[in-house]
Amino acid sequence: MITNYMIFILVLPLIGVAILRALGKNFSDRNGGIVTTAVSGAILAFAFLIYPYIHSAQVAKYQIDIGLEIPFSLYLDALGYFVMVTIAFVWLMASWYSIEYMKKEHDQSRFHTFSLFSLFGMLGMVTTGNLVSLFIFFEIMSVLSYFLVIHEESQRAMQAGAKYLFMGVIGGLVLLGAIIMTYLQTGSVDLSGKGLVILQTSPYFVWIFWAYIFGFAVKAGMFPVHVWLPEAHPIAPTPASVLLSAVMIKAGAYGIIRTIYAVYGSTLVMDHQFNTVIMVVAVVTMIMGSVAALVQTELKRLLAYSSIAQIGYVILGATLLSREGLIGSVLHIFNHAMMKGALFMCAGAIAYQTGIKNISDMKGISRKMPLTMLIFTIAACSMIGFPPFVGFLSKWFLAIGALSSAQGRVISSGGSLVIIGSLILSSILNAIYYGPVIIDGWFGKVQGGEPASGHVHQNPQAGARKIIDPNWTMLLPMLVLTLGIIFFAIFPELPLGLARLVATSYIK
Amino acid sequence: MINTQIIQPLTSAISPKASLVAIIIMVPFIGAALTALSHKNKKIRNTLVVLTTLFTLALVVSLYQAAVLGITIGGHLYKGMEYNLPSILGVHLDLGLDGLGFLFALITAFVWTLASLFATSYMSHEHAQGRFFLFMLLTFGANMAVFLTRDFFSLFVFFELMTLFSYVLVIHEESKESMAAGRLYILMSIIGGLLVLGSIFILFFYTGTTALEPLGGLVSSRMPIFLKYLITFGFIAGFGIKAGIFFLHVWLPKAHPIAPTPASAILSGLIVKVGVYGIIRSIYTLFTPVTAETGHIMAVLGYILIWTGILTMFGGMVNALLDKNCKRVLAYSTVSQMGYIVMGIGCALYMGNEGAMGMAGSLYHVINHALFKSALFLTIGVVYFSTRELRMDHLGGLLKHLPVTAFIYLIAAFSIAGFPGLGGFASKTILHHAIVEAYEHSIHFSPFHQPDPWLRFAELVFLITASGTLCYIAKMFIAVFLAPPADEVSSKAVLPKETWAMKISLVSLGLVIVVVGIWPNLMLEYIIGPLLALFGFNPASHAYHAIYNSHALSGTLKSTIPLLYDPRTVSMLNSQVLHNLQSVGIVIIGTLIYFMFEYGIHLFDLSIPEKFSLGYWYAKGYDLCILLLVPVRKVLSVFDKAVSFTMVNIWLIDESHKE
Repeated sequence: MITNYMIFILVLPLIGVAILRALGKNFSDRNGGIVTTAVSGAILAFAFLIYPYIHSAQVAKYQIDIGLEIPFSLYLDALGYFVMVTIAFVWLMASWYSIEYMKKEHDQSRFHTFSLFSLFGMLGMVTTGNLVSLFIFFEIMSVLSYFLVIHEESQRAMQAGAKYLFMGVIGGLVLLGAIIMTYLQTGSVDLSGKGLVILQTSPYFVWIFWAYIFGFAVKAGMFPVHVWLPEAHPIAPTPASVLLSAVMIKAGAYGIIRTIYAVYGSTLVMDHQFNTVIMVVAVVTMIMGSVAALVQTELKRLLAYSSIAQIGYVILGATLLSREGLIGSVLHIFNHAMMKGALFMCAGAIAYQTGIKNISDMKGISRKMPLTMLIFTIAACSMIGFPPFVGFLSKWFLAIGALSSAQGRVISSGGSLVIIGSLILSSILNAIYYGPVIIDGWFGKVQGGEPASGHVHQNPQAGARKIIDPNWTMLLPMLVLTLGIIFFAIFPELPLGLARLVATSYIK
Repeated sequence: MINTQIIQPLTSAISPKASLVAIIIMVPFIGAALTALSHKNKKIRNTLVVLTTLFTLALVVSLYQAAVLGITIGGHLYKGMEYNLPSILGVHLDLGLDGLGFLFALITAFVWTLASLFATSYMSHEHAQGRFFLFMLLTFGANMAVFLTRDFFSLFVFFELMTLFSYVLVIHEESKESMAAGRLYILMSIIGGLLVLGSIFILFFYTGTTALEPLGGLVSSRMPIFLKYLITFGFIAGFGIKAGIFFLHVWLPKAHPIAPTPASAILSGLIVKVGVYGIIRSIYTLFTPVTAETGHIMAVLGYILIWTGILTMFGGMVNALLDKNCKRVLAYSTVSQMGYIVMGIGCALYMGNEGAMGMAGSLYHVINHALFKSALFLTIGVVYFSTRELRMDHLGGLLKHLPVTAFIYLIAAFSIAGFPGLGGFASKTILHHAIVEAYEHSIHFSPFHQPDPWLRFAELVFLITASGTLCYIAKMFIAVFLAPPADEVSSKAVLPKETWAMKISLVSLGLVIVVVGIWPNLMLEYIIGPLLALFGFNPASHAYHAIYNSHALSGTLKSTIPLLYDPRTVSMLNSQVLHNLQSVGIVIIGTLIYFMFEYGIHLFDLSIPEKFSLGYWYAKGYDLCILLLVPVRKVLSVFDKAVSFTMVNIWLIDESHKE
């Protein structure tokens, strides 16, 4: 059964595309969002059907001989499943949100078609059992999501798209080179094991490793190769920003986790101290992303830089090579997806209702959009790491992971303290750049307007200040994500249990 | 009769009473939800606010027996309570209550109730009342919950929530000044919270538990020495930011006065105590039971804390003397009084398992400070309510107009100044004993078997600070109530009087201050004494014996320390009592000298240049840090340019239209 479900899940986005194309442009312009929502909802439902199998630590395998030496292989384990659920969940919310949001945009059918194609690529990537299939899906996702980035077709969007595609292609090619080399050196591209130890005999194995990391790091938006991200993410329409920032960069992080644990294996990585280098880069990414976010004037750009910082957390956790570290890393994939999804949706809702994009214009916005601002506040507090929100949980596990990898002699104890220090520093930076947005949003004074004292109950002209929170089609997905941020912090058994399964499958 | 039974906490399996702990936490939050729903009708909302706090207070009081003295069920003695909520937040929430938590919870619930009552009438002319009361109750809930947790993890969760909620109280006015103060408050609190969190991480990792129970054995056997100091530093600094200890206090004189007065009373009287609670809890969790090794660390920490406390009390006092804004004087006074409390904790640590005196003094001062500081803030609140003025030189002559307020101010002022017969006297006397004992105890640490002369100096600073306290509090009384009315006050046609709600809350506070003062040994016998057992002090030590003789047969005196009078003979002609009164005499003489300067040569009309304040330099440092980030951003943009350049050359993308 599990393989059938898996195939259903993979085929569903394509069926969605077929429906959209078959029923014509007029229909899909009007109802594209609903189709995408239905498809991602169905995928989430199938994913829940798979849960019992994954829970009992089964894995799904399915191979199609396509006439090559390397078969096309489907494979689903705990890690793939975890990311798959995250993808389906966030995609559902983003598509739901897009039903209303995209009404003001042109050429909706194109947007929804490529959204479904990207979904196909993402789902395929996390359900494949060998590197070649993974690469194919990775490229589908990477190239076809280009159309989401340039949707506006403005000068700025085209430039951002060009950067995105250019770096995506370079990353993809380097990755392809690494995969070919791996195959030539070992004769295997299997992803379902715990590392191809035979790779060690290859004279090029160091180079191959860094080629993998480079290829995935471009997609993840890690520090030196992140340049495309702050251009591409904010310029896309908001549902696409949500998908790009909350989900698609996780494809890179997923790739890095697989490279470390499944292609090379944690022992090999540790023996050659590869992880230390990535760890340093991840910490730098964390800090740099936050530092760059400090000076942004546009809200969506700030959120994009924040994504760079947060992907640093995920990769840091993966490189700790300890149980708790991997749990924290995997958990943060899910947590960050919810938080960043909610934040981008708020930014989009504000832009949609008022046309405001710059942070400085958002003073006192809560008087017009209280619910949106409340959601933004909760999600941002979670980003900073306030309990009882999910962001706090990830940080907890990452810090414990750092300490326990010092215990396991992966890093020195001084190193673990440096990591905890940078987690703390990163939280402080988060507070510094999210703080003003929240505070000005709630209490800021409108320039030139009346003083912002909230005489709401006494002021007879209070009716003049109309509440313009977006309608429920847009608001509900935001609320669901916010409730998720709180619920999965207080009752984290579901994501945490899965994350534990992931950790168990790779460490001890 | 020595009780040899094993004493264990009451769990919900044994008695359903244990679940009251969770209910106490829930009551304010439910009350907050109800007030939010009933915001349209002010009367219902105000009643709800007061009833919620009152009900919480009643629940806390009802737990006295179980938490402090212990109850016997089925032949077993149960002391303290615990109530666990499994699988929440990935770990679990361990709730519970013991004597220490009870003391803080009781004083918090009591003062909060009166402040809420006061606020219902004080806030009637303010904007956004609904928000104020909502966040007042939310802060109350989080604040109570901090004292009702049994592990660091839950404590941290509620500690952070309290910071978030109380922020809204600080910036209530939404003026430029209050936003700036709020920003400083939230930033420093977040840094403090993260320091605490970092320390919890490390503690949890090495000991495998975050329980708030003596972990000294685990800590000393498993943790490297530098980490012990590091996390102790993290805890003290993290909680110390909330408590406003020196170097970390800069936010306090900005944030406390700017809030609406009932909130100032809460912030200054109660929320700073959460910091104290955190410091006491964390240190005694890390280093008890006392062994030779932990004793050494405790002595070092104690010495540091004594001097931190001395610096804090002296610095706060000097600032309070020089300030002319009533609420800011009170805020600096809070800093100064926190110095007393921190010094007491320092003395207790310094003396290891003989430190009962310092701890008792600190805890006693926690109670007294909460009472008199909230009373002082509320009286100044009445003054502001009536005149809309806080500057001393613009006030005056209010004695006739607000007699009740003036009278309560006087009681609270005498209490903070340590006058015999009022609460402050007892706690300051015990703290004075503690620093003298620390001085005598320092012989043990000296290679020449001489006491440490610096601690004698510390005692001197203690006395100077005490007279300074009397001086600034008297100065304010003279300026506000006695001095001839300033034009601003006398020109106003109608000055509103205190309302009934205000009078009730002020008089109740004054009454409790007097009761605590007249029977100074009451608190020691019923609350502070029994909970000293938590700290692992040696019951045979002289100080412990004087404060609380746990072996005394029922019906005899449990506390024999002569504070105001000898409790055995109820006579004031005891050498120790006379010695205490002698210190008061010294304090008064010091005050008279101050006043000679003040009114003779106007020495204290000087205003300190901004450059001498710590806050100024912190702001500079912060700006510098942000400035240092500029090169980092430069590096980022270089990367950006490099990629764009490559693209222009490879793909010939036209970048000339860049915005």
